[in-house]
Amino acid sequence: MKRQLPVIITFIFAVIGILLQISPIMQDRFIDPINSWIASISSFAVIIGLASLVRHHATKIRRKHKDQFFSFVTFTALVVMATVSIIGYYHPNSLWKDFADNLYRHIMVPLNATMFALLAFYISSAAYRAFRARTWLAGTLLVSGFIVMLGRVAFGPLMIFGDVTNWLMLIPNTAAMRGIMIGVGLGMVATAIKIMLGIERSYLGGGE
Amino acid sequence: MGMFLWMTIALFLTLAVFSFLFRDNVIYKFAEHLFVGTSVGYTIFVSYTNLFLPRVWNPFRRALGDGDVLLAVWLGLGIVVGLLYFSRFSQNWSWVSRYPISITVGYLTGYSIIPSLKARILSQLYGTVVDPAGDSLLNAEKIGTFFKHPTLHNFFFEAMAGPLLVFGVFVVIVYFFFSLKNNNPVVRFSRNPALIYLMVAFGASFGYTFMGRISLFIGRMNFIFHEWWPIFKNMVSG
Amino acid sequence: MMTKDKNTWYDKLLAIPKPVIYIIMFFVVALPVLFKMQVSTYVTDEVQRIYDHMEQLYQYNQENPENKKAIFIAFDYDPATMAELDPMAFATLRHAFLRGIPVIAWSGLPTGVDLGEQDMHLIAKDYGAVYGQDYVFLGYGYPFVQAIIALATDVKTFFASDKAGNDTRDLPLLKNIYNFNRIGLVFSMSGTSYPESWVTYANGLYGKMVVTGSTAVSAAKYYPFLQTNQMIGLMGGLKGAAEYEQLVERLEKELNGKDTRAYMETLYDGKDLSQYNTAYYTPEFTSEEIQLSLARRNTARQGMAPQATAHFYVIILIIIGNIAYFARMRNNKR
Repeated sequence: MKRQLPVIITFIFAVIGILLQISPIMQDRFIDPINSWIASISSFAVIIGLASLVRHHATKIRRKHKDQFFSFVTFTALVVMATVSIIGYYHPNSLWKDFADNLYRHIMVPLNATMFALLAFYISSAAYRAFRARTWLAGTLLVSGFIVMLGRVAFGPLMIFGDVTNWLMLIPNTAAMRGIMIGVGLGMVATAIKIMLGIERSYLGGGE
Repeated sequence: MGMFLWMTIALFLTLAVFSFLFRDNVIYKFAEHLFVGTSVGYTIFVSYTNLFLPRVWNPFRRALGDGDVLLAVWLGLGIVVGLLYFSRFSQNWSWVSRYPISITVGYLTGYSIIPSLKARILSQLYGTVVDPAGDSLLNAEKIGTFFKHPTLHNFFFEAMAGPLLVFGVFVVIVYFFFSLKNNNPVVRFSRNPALIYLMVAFGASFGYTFMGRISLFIGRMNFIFHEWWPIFKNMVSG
Repeated sequence: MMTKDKNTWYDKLLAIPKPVIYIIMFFVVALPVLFKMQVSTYVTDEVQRIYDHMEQLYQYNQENPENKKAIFIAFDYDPATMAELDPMAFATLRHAFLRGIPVIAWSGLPTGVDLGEQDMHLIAKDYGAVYGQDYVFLGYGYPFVQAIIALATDVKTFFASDKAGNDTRDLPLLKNIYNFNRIGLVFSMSGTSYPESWVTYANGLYGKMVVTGSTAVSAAKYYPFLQTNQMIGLMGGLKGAAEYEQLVERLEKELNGKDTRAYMETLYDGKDLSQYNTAYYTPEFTSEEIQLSLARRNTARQGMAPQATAHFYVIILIIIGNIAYFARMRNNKR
């Protein structure tokens, strides 16, 4: 009941998933209802993730954790953002919508973008400290990296790097990435079959 | 004035995050927690207006409104099954959430087998034998083209392109095939060529990765110098 | 016992503090941005093919005005990667609106939904495109596989309402174009692995032509799909965006004249403004908006100059680091 029945359900729905692709009759008659049904169930998974996160920060505040001020900041931002955005949704020509758009554009967007912009500095520092051509293979990696970096910004006399970069991306890069992709693809298909047959059950979580 | 205030807030938050480059500080922590809070709050809004309403509530309401009882019952059953996810919050009843998980995982897994096989394996193997124009990649005609017009371009892009691609895919696949022993002659022969192909590809990836990271920083500089600064200048000069 | 001299040139080089590297990096990037330096960019085959396919779609629509095909854009990115992907999205939307190709879109990431919607309205305003007739933004395309399956049959069953809350059955564009049969090209703009999923399902199952706009970090791994034509084109990073921007700008100047400012100032003159819902955008331009719109047409190309200087800087850093490292190793061996 707790583990066996879910495994059987997984198998049944996996078979349904396969049949929906190979059977024209099933496609014509059942694909829309089944699709909408699965979509509505899957939507609740996102809601659960959000609820867990909100619970985590609420617990920190309740237990008066030493960083609870920052948990207050998180919680307040969460409530304001959600509330203002939802009100703005129901009143599209109002100040609430403008406020929601501004919160998105001028608070969320710059924070999100700048967090990732930090990586430019980290990669340059890491490149200086760690990238050493200790072996001929590492040297090959570095030379290839240099050629691509110069090739993608090439102009005028540097255009030779552009041509070499095009060749590098189309031939050796494609060959290597394809080899990796085939390996990954085989692994993915094997894992999918294992899940379908109940051999792989880690998605059910621990416990009984 | 309103736009300038909002842009200045954005500028302040940008600089607050950049302050982390020197050391962790209160201003950065504030910005970080603000980021988490606004992202989650926004995701709640999107989940309600763009997920729950169009995918769960409105189809159910539409089915009831259209008088399609069968569809309404079917969708209602989906809502009940989806609500079982909330049993995760109970220690004694958390096993109930395995039912909706097994439905979604089973369906997605089964649905993905054939397309993944086709897109990642079969099409890729096919592309290693035949190019999109239908010609074989190991094509003596293209080698002949090189001898007719012996240029570097024809050598690398026409004559040798196909053979190098086919050879590269073969040695890289053998390199990652761990079921054969290391002293197998095919494995031994393909090891170094595979490593060369892999290092060239990883080097190209590194070059692209660096390009990508810098672009994100350029985006921030564009905001500061080409969006905030002109508005500030206009305000100051009246 | 001999003590090692730590003041050798290579030890000093290897001990350069991180803040120094960061500060130089800042100036190397900021100065070209500040002075709006530009370098020319060459167009690669992978981007030229995207432009050519869009033009073919335009030709098809001209020959079949009753059976027009649309493009589908998946804004599968969020603000973290918008610096690279927004310019691509803008150039694609410009091309579509210039050629009167209808656009249907959604976003695959929850934090990118408003970004995608705002981008569409921003560019639509530059060409007088009408929401619901010329373009539609559906909202959040989740769960992904179910969304694609719905797009193969009838997307209105999956999106009972669009992002703005309109009933999708009431939108004129979706009355005729609601599945893959009437979609000519699928664009996936993403910094994640969504393009692979589009190739797997949209191309693998339904034979649709897929175009990818990806961050540079992910671009290298999509080349195998290019070679097999599972993807018909690839815009990789800011460079790819700059190339497509360049091609579209040439087209725009051909169609609307060299003076884009004058074109925008008179765009809404004589038009029936009641067809424009101000909830999406106001059909008139302030001078500030025109300025920003003109700057937006150049974003990626202007980014190539600081990109070039940053690349030169890091290459020099790595070479210096290696020279110092090998000098120290040789000294230690002695």
